[in-house]
Amino acid sequence: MKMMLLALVAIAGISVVANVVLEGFAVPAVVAFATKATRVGVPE
Amino acid sequence: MFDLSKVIAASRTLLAMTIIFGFLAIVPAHAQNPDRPPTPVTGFNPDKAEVHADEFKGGGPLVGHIVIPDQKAASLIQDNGRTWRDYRRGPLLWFVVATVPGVLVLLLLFRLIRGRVMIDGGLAHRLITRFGSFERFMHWLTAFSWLILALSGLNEIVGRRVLLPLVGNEMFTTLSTAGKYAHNFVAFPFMIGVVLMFFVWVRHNLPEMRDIDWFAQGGGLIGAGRPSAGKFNAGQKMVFWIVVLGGTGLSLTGLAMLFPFSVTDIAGMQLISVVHGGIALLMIAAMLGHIYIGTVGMEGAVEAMTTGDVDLNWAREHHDLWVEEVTAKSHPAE
Repeated sequence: MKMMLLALVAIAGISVVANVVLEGFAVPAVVAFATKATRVGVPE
Repeated sequence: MFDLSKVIAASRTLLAMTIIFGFLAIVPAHAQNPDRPPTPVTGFNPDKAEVHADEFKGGGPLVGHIVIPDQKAASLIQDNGRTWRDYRRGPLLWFVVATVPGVLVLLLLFRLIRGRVMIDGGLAHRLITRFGSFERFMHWLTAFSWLILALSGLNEIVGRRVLLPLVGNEMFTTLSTAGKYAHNFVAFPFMIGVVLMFFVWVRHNLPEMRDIDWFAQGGGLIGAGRPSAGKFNAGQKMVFWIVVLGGTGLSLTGLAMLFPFSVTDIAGMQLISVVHGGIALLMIAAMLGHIYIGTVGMEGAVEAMTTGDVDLNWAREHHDLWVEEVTAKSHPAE
C-alpha cells in the first residue's frame, strides 16, 4: 500500500513539474513565435 | 408649423431606401458570383447549401492571405475536418461502446461461466516475495496515471453524451477542464512508468516456446490445466507488450498533440488524433481484462502488487518455473 501512495505522490509531483515547464516556458515561447507579425500594412 | 409635404417626401425616401436595402439583402450572394446557384439566405445559422459547403468537399483547403509566420492560420476551410468530425460523432462512439461496456459484459459473462479462478491446493499460508518495492512503485505509477488518462480521455470522446446529462453544465465544465489539464500533464508520469517497466521487466517478457503451450492450455483460465510459466506467463507477457508498445504509441501521438503542428500539418494532426484514440481504446479493453484477473477474478493475485508477497501455492500453480528459480537461488545446491 505504501508504494501505491508513493506512486500517487510521484504522479502529482511529476505532473506539476511538467505543467510549470510547459506552460511556464515552452508554450509562451511557441505562441510568441507563431503570432509575431513580420510586417505591418495592408497585404498586396 | 406642421409641413405635410416634408413628411411625405421623407416617407418616400424611407420607402425607397427600404426597397433598395431589402433588395441588396436578398440578392448579394449570386449578384456577386453569377456562376453560383442562387440560394435562399435565411440569416443566422446558415445551412450547408447557403455557405456552398459542397463546393469545398474533397478538395484542398481554402486558403486566405496572412502576414504572420504561422501559415496554418491562413487556412479558412478544410474539408477533411468534416470527415474527422463525422468519425468522432459516429464510428468512434461505437468503438467506445465495444471496448468499455462491451468488454465489461464479456468479463461478466466469463465470471458467470468460469467463476473465480481459485487456488486448487488452497492457501499454503507461506508467502513468497513476488515483486519488490520499486517494481510495485513503477506498476502503480503507470497504473494510476493510465487510469486518470483513460477516464479523462474517454470524457473527451463521450463526456457530453454520458457525463453531462448526469452532472449538469457547471459540474461538467469543471470536470472537463480539470480532466483536460490532467490528461496533458499526467501523461508525463505515465511515460516515465512505461519506460521504467520496459527496462526492469523486458528480460522476463521475451517470447519463449512454452508460451505457445500456455495459450494452448487456455492459460489455466479455461480448463483445469495449469501450464508452466516463469516470472510472467504468456498472458502477462502479452499485457506487458500491449503496455510498452501501446504506451509508446500513445506517448508519441500524445506528444504530437501536446505540441500541435510541430511535426505535421492539419491532416496529420487529425490522423494522429484518430490513431491516439484507437490505441487508447484497445489498451483500455486489454487493461480491463488485466484489472479483472489481477483483482476479483483470481484468488491470491492482487497481493502481488499490494504487499508484494503471494501465497506459495498460488505461485506454484501459476508460476512454477519462477518458484523453482527463486527457491534454487535462496537454497543453492550444496
